[in-house]
Amino acid sequence: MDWIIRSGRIVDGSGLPAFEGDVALKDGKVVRLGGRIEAEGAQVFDATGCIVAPGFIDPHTHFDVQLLWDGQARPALEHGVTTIVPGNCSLSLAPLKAGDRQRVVGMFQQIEEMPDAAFDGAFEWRWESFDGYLAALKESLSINVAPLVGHSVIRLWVMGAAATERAATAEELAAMQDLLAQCLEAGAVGLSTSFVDVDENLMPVPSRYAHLEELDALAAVLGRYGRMLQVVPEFYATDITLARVDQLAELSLRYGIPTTFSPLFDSAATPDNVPRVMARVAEQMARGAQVWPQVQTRPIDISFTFEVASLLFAGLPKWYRTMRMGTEEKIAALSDPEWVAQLLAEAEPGGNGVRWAGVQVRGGVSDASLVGQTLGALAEVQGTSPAQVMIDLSLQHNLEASFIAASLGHNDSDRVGALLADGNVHVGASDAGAHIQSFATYGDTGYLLGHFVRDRGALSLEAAIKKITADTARIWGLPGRGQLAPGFAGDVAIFDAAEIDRCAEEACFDMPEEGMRYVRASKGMVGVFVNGALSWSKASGYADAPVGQIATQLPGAASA
Amino acid sequence: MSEAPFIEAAEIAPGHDGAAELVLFVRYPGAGRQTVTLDADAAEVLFEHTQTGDVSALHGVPWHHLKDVLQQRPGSGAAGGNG
Repeated sequence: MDWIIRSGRIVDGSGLPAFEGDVALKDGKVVRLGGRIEAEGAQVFDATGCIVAPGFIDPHTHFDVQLLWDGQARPALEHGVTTIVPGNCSLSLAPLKAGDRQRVVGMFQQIEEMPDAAFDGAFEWRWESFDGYLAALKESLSINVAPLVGHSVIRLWVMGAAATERAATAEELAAMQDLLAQCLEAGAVGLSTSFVDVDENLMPVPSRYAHLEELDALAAVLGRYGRMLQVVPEFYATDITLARVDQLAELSLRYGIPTTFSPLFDSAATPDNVPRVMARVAEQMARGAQVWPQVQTRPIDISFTFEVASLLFAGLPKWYRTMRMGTEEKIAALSDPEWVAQLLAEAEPGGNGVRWAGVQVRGGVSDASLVGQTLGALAEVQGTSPAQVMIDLSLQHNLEASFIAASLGHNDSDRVGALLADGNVHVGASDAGAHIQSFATYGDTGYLLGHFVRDRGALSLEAAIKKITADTARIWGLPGRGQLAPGFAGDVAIFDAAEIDRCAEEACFDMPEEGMRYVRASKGMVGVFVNGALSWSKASGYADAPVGQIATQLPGAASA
Repeated sequence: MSEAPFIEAAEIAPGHDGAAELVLFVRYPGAGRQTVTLDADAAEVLFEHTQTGDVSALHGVPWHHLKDVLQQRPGSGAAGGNG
């Protein structure tokens, strides 16, 4: 044995009740579990009082670029995530001809908010093919990766500039089919496409120029390999999303493939969206189609500054009028006591359901101690109103103070909890690695296990673990992962069920050239094994062990 | 009852990308109802047009009228939001 994880409460991913015992790992895999296991020379990880579960699988990430300089996909790993699916939303870093790199960089910058520095010197472009990209990843991979290949880059490879001009010819379609087959042979877990994404010029990405016949032809190739089709539908319009569910169901049935779409949000503004979409999904699943809606666990926050007119103020005409002024005019208005008095009168008790007292200072202020504090708390100390505090901070910082109105959408815990527990829902859509300068996309599993399992009882612990491990592995066809059972990969998350959660969002400067992103640290996680190697622990932090594997292939022995 | 589709309601909602967005509820003759979601830039065009920053000013406005306004803005063919 290499490791014995001692005296934990094992939730094995099957959905069956937890049980006490040890878990033994050897050569990268689980070899025994349950009861007391003794093995001379094995290292021991004390899991007393902790849950021992399979490592979590995140099916919707955008770590494609970050993995090239951070093979641990920080901070995903410390949240217990041991396998990630990058390449979503039609976008991947391969296959990609050298001459097309800049076009794809622009798409990544728009969709993931990746800074220039991330592409300029942070890694060396040495590949064009999909297997070349995987070879580059594997040099320092510490987390398992099941990469999608993006429809937009496949189109770009075959059609060049015409990829954003027209439908494909029959010859081009055949070339795309061949290219997709090569990617799947190399280890791609499927194909991603998007009906909504735009590039840095706000123009549709290449996949949006495809006719239905093109997607059908590519799905036929997926069918030969039994691989996944991931889609971003027009999620902002229920009727169109319903049509996409039907379209995916037909492709699933015709070619025997799993399909998944994301995101699906619950919103107070459109309360019939989720019930209608889920009813259609249930109807299609009953026919035998696989159309998995991905639902994120975390609520949606809205961030804003006074520099740009956020629609958050659109229900407050005086405020919105002020926000739309030029900078100098805006500062003058916010400095005018009479004008401010009118703003304050309009601000109470709150617009668009926003309670200003609960809005937090997010950044852009000289006094770091203010970050994370609510306007209500600051107002109480200063003997003024929350809206006045917001105005004062903005004026003091040249309108650059930023604020966050937390949990404004997808925030009804009863509704979202029931949705997450639905047997037809695929828990995912974290978007980890994207939107990095807008909000943190990490810790959704901690939020699931803390908020929805422990605090709300929306799902049992066993059911929630199953959803983010064995169910995900089955949906995506990841062999030998997602369960604690002999022969399965030694991917293990060990956590304190009483503590598990996500920490507060914080700005972090760990991108190339000290670029900023928002992250959340883990809470309650105590140890994470990847392919039998201790890759992160609360006590020692990250271990620099390149043990990650391409998860579409059977688990092998850890190399470190 | 109106002969043409019109804006029955308009609300501000949280968007997938962490920004607020404008949701229009379009009522069609014959009882059909559709939601149209607009980002801040598109909403700004409508507010410019209605000379107000108040969502309630959009209530009752014919949908085709707003659609024409939106389609005349630069880059209107690229409507979409990143998933």
